[in-house]
Amino acid sequence: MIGNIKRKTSFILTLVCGLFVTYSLQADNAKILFLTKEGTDFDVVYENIEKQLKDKFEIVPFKTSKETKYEDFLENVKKVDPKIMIIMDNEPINFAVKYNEENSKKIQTISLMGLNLKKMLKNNQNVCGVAYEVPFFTIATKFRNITKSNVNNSVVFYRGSLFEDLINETKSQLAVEKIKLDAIDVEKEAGTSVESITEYLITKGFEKAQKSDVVWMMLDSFLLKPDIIQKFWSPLANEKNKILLTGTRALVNPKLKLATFGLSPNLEDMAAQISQQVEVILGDGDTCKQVGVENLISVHQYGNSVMFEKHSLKASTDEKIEILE
Amino acid sequence: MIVKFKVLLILLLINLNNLKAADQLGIYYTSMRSAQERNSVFKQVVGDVSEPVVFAKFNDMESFIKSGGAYLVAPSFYVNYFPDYEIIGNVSETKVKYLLVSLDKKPFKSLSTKIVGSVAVLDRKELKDFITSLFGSEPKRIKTVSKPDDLFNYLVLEKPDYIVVLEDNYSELVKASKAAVHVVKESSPVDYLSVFIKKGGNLDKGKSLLTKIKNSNFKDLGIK
Repeated sequence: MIGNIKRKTSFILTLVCGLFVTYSLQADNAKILFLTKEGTDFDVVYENIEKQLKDKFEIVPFKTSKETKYEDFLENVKKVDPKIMIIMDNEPINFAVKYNEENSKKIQTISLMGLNLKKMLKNNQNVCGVAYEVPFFTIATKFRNITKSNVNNSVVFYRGSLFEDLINETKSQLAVEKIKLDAIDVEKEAGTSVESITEYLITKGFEKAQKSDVVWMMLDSFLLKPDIIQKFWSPLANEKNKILLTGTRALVNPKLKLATFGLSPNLEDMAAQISQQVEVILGDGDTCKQVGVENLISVHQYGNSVMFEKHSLKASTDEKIEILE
Repeated sequence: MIVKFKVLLILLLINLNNLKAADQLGIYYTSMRSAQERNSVFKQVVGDVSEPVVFAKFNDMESFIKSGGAYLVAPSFYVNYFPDYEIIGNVSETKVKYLLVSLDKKPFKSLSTKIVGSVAVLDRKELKDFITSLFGSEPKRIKTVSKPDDLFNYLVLEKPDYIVVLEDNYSELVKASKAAVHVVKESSPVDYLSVFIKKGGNLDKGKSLLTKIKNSNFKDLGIK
């Protein structure tokens, strides 16, 4: 009987000690408040970052939705008292921007899977991250390598009010690989209304694209409205026989007969890029100001079987590309 | 009862996985060839001795090592970082160099103020140590990509001061690029790939793997 009690006491003591050691270890680890979102891609990235960082840091997830308010975010920040935050999507990223503007105690924040982060976070001292858009440099050079096509001249139609910096950065990157980019600011040429820009593309756009080897179909929802796709992008690809390159798998769908080739972010590697930023800040002592918003590096490659055939293109066998049928 | 059964099932699966790893050959080296392509070649060569698994990324190789994988084909310098494994022989006698590559022509002085990009072939801390040993100078900061295909992309997009590239990977990367890149420093020649065995493992089987691998031609897979 006494032996039994001793054994039980010893078991409980071991358990308590174990729990204490586990708690102490976790308490020593810096806390990361991770604002996640519902969705397969968000889940993949969260799981990979968690896998890479969980042994070194304590990650506290907080799932956000459209209903999440700044006050909910503040409550979590107070409760967790994180050393650093990782945040997905534009709206929650704005919470971190606002928080760091309003509070003297700054929290370094790494942002991801938001649109146009380079512009949104330009010169921000406390919020850095990885851009979600695939750089055209990567799209153009991967297409050239895979198809052995000439890609010396490219053209893009863009809105200067939103993408001027991105265009300038892209031009200097492409220059390294001896690729020219003729960038046409449709707002400068035709004003800001959908009607005037559509009219400009129909009357002048085809001619402007004619001399280029490829056309960059930039992911700007304004320039990808159904009416502009029907009147400009589709005839450009099918009647004018231009090769359209883009930064999403969706537009490479053969049924659409639009983009010939496209890339999408490699989510696992993007997670590794984010994990590295955490380690550079928490481990090496860098700040978000030094890290900035990095370009997305790693991608998946997709070819459109219909457009590949139309342009007599073949993917070299040793390249890792998925041809969509 | 159901919870107990689930726990037992999970434990069984973990053990099965470890048992499998305990007899497997894990292969990792930086290559422009896909892991699947390399895997099928290794399967032909050593499939009757051990089940080979070519890992595309270091993280996966690291998990294999942590789960007690029996045999490795890996860069020879792994001997300094994974003390549970020993080398039983080199895959080939050819030595290789690592190159420090830049978009800038300026002559190399030191890495102490420089950001250096590399494929993640080790954990960050150990990678820094390895690069320091290659070039005799400790980089200020290490940034990694997960595969060699992304190195030139990283060099142009993020503009680190240098990238470290294995010479064989470099010749393939240069073929696919029109960029004016400069090799600013070469490391001394080092052993390339070795066959490792987990200490205390089946040496006879390890030697049999080594013989089969040494007698095969892996030139097409980027192994000299």
